[in-house]
Amino acid sequence: MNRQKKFLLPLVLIAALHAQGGSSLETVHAAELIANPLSQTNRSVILDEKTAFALTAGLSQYEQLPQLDGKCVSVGGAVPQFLIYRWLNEFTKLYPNAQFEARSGGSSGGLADLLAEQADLATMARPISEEEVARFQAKFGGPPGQIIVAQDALGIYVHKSNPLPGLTLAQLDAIYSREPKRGGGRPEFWSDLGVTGSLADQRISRHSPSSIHASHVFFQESVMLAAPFRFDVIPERTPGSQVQSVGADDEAIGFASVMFATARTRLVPLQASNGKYLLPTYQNTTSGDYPLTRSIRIIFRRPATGSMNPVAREFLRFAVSRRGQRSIALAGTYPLTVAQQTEALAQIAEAPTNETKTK
Amino acid sequence: MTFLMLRHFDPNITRARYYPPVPLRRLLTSWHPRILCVAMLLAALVFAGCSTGKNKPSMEEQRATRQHAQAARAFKTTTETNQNRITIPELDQLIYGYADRYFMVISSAADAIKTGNPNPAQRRIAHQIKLNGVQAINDIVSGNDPYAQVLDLVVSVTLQSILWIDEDQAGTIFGDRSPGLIKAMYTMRIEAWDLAARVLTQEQLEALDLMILEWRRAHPEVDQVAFVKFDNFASARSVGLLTDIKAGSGFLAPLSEASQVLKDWGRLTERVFWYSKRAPNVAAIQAEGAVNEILATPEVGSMLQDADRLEKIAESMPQTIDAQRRAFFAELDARQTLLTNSLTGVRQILAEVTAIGGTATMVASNTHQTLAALSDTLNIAERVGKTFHFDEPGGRRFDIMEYEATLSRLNEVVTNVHQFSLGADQIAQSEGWKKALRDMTDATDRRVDRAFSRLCLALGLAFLLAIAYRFISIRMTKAAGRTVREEP
Repeated sequence: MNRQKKFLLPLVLIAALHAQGGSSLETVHAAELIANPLSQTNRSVILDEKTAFALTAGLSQYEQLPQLDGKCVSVGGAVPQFLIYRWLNEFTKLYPNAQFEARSGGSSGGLADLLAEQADLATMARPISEEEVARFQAKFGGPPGQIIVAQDALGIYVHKSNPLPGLTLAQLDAIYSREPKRGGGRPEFWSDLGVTGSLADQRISRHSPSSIHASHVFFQESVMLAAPFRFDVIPERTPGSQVQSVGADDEAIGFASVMFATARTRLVPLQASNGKYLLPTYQNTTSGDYPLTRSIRIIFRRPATGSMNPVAREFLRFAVSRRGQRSIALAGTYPLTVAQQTEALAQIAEAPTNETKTK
Repeated sequence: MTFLMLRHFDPNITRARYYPPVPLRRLLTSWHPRILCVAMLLAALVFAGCSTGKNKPSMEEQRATRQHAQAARAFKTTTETNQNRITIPELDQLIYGYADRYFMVISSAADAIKTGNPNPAQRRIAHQIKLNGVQAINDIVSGNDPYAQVLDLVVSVTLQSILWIDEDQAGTIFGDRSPGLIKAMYTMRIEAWDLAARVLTQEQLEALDLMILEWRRAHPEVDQVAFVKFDNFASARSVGLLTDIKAGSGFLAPLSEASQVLKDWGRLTERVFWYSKRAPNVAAIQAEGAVNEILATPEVGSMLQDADRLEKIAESMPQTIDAQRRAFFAELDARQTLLTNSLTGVRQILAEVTAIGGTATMVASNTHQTLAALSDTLNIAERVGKTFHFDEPGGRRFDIMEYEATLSRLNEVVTNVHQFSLGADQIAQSEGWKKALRDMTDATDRRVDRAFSRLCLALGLAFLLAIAYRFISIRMTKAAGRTVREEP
């Protein structure tokens, strides 16, 4: 019963906002959070089933082929592979004869396997670099194909009792960086960030995913402008354990994908370029207004000659379809917009195909 | 060793001088060790003298050298550990150590919640956490497949931490008492993943982490998560991960190399030995948990609630009875006073009416006499008038009898009232009226007696149930103790 109430809360909120004439969720949050930061819970960020269905209603549906045989190998980072697993649960039912092997290997590992022709798909939570594109061109005579398959945002987590109303990127940089480049000072205690009360005199306990995670690299580049992390930042083995460490320690701060939000943590609004403090909601993420927005991508070989693996091709088409996007929206990431889906389908269509070829 | 050496070098050993073997403690208090100590001291001085020289390092240098050596050894150990695969016996020891720490940490946290906690539901749930957790971990540790053991351990501990920390069940249920449990759960999760990191690659760790997360999101209704095993993740991925690990993709020996170790009886014996040593502790927790569960079942709970309630009633019954008696008699007294006052009032009225009646009779009699005299007078006057013909034409003839009739009726009324008042007074004073009052009092008394009889009956029942409750408690405690003793 309690779960149902929690489940309905965002719906009621969204309905109320629509009734107000389409005012944005963020506007309400910005005003409300300054007055009472603890009023916000992560439930207002995560999509519920009805909202997920509404947001994906405009996407085109996947058209199943009569038969599909062959094998496909996918390698990549943790969060993207999680989405791959979600899609596979349904894809393997559509095509029981198709074989699919999904391995975790990090974004860089997936790309290396793709270059070595050990994999058909590489999943990444960051854009492919120019140097990596150059290596592709050198090996295959052309750039790789890449499509966005989901929207994600890096959330800043604090303990649910932490009254911190919001952070600027400069403050965030100063919290984590050994050499802050944004001029946010050197915060050591929570009072340095404007927190009052019992937490004010407590030291900030900094948590981060270990350096092999894409979110670690993304944060370092986006927030810290490639400066090194402080020595006292506590690395965590997995994103789940990092968010839990914040929930278990009221002096802690950490960052991870919004899909790991828990009941004992609170997402902190970040100051956007327009000066507003924004939460990583669907609207802020897909619009790009939230500062730490990132896209989940799948990189694939697009050979100048020959053909694309048909299983990989159908899997990509399924992933960006309405059915595929609904599946991952319920996992905690945000679905594609219609424009993003159209672009992705066009990219897939550009790849040469040979339905009869199997690997 | 020292003792043997002394005996060996005694050249003139005879039966009379032979020193029988003595315990070391006695030997240390005898004269032999004194000599030995002096000898050792001299030897130490000699050796110390040998080591002294021009190049002798200072104490600081020696300490620094030792520290460097320790650091070098630690570094070597670390790098070797990371480079080499962990063996199955090593993994066994790590898992045993983890299980012992889990027992200690989680039990301490659960016991801290229970200590001095007036809330029985919180105490029961805290014990359940300890019981389920320890049982689940011991079950995993006593398994034979080291690959599955690692995965099961991580799954069980992680799901527990998700339930109690991430989903905030600890905060919801235990409130201010939750921080200890949260810290304990978090600590054991970190340790479980550290253990898993000795066996699995980073990619495998992440895959496992996401599998656990996905399973929990698909099964939010499961509360007994401590017993969830990796096998419950019925998907191609979980099978693939286990196969991957068994193929030696991680830091654990591949199944082909490990098969001989897995068949080793020594490993089985060690496992049995480990488990049997901890079985009494587990049994004790199980027994306490069983008692808690029995007491928490609705029927027993209802009975105990009734017993508690009756016990409280029984405790407060003397005061209640006394208060009720006081209230009842106070009310009865008030009513009696009212009744008495009413009767007094009636009597006064009746007395007054009687007095009025007497006066009225006298008045009537006098009036009658007066009127009779008047009538005679008037008759005389009439006769005089007839003699003198002084009747006025059209005028009504004066008739004194009308007044007399009116007075007669008034007299009847007064007389009737008088009779009534006499009758009422007679009723109040009559035996019938007194009997009715007595009957009413008796009936009231009977009702009071019946009420107090019921109270006494309830009191007796309460004591009986309280005795039954004590009896059940003693029996269950004994049964629990017997279960513990009977465990191997």
